[in-house]
Amino acid sequence: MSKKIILIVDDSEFDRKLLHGALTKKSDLDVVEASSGDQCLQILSQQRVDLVLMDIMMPGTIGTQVLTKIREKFNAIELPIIMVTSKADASDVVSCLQTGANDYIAKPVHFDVAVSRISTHLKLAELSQEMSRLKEMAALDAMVITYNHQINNPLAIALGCLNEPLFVDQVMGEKLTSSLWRIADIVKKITVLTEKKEIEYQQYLGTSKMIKIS
Amino acid sequence: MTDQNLPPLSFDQKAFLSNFQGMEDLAEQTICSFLTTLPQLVFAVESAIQNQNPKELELSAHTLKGVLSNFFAEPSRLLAWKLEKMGHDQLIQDASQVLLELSPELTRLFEDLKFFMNGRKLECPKK
Repeated sequence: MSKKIILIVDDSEFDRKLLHGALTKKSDLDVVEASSGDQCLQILSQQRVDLVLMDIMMPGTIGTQVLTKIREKFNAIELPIIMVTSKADASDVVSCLQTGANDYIAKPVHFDVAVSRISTHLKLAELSQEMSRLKEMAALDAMVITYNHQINNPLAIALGCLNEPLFVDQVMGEKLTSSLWRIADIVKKITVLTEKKEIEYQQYLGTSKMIKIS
Repeated sequence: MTDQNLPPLSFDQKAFLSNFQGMEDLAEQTICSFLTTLPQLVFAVESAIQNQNPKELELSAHTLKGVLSNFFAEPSRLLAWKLEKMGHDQLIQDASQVLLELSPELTRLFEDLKFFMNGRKLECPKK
C-alpha cells in the first residue's frame, strides 16, 4: 500500500521544515509543503493528498477562505484538514471548525500528539470510505436479489412453453431450450453469490462494471 | 538526553528536550536554524512598527510567536503575542515599547540556546 501523503501549509519556512522533519522521523508518512493558500490549492489539484495540516494565519489569506475553497472540491472524509494554531486563536479555531476543518492542533506542536491526531483522522477517513462502499454493496445486493426474483417467474413460464407444439421444430426448440436453461443457470449462480455475502467490492464491479460469474 | 546544568529561564529546556526525544539531530538543526533566522524575524517586526502598518505587525509578530513557541520560550512568546494582538486590534502606538521589552528577552534566548549547544559540544554548521 502506498504511503499516506500529508500536505503542510504554512508561510513560515522555519515551522514547515520543522514539522516536516518531525513527521518524517516519527511516522511512515510522506510530506509535501506549501507556503501559501494558493500553493496549497495548486498542489491539491495536481496530486493526491491524504491530509492537510494548515496554519490558521498566513499573509493575504484567512484560514477559512482556503478551507472553503478546499471543501468545494473535497469533503471532510475525502480530505481531513487539521488547523495548526496558537492558544489565543480560539475564535479563529471555531470559525475554521465551522467552515469544515476536522480538528486543530495548538502550538507549540507536540510532535507525538500531532502524529497521533494525524493517524486517527487518516484511519477515520479510511473507515468512512469503507462504510460508503459497504452501503453501495448492500444496495447492489438488494437490487440483484430483486431482479433475480423478477426474472425467475417469467423464465419458468417460458420454459414451460417449450412443450407447446409451436416449438416442435427441433433446431429452434433446441436453441430456445439451451438459451433459457443458460439464463436459469446464471440466475441460480447470482442467487448463490448474493447468499454468500462475502464478496469483495472488486468482485462486484472490478473494471468491467459487471458481476464476475464463474 | 540529560542535562546537569541549571535550566535557563528564557526557554523550557525540559519541555523542548522531551518534544525532540529521539530526534536530537533535528533539535540541533532547529536551534541552528533559529539562531540564523532570528534577526530576519525581528527585522520584520521592526519594519512593521516603523511603517506603522498594523497588518504587517500582526503577521510578522504571529510568525515570530509561532517560531518561539517551538522552544517553549514563554516570556518572549507572550511579548510577541502582545505585538500580534496590537496589530490585530490596529492599536500600534505602544508597539515600540513592547518591542523594547522583547529585544532583551530574545537576546537572552539567543544566548541560552548557544549555551545549550556548547554544553553538548555542538556547533552550528558555518555558512
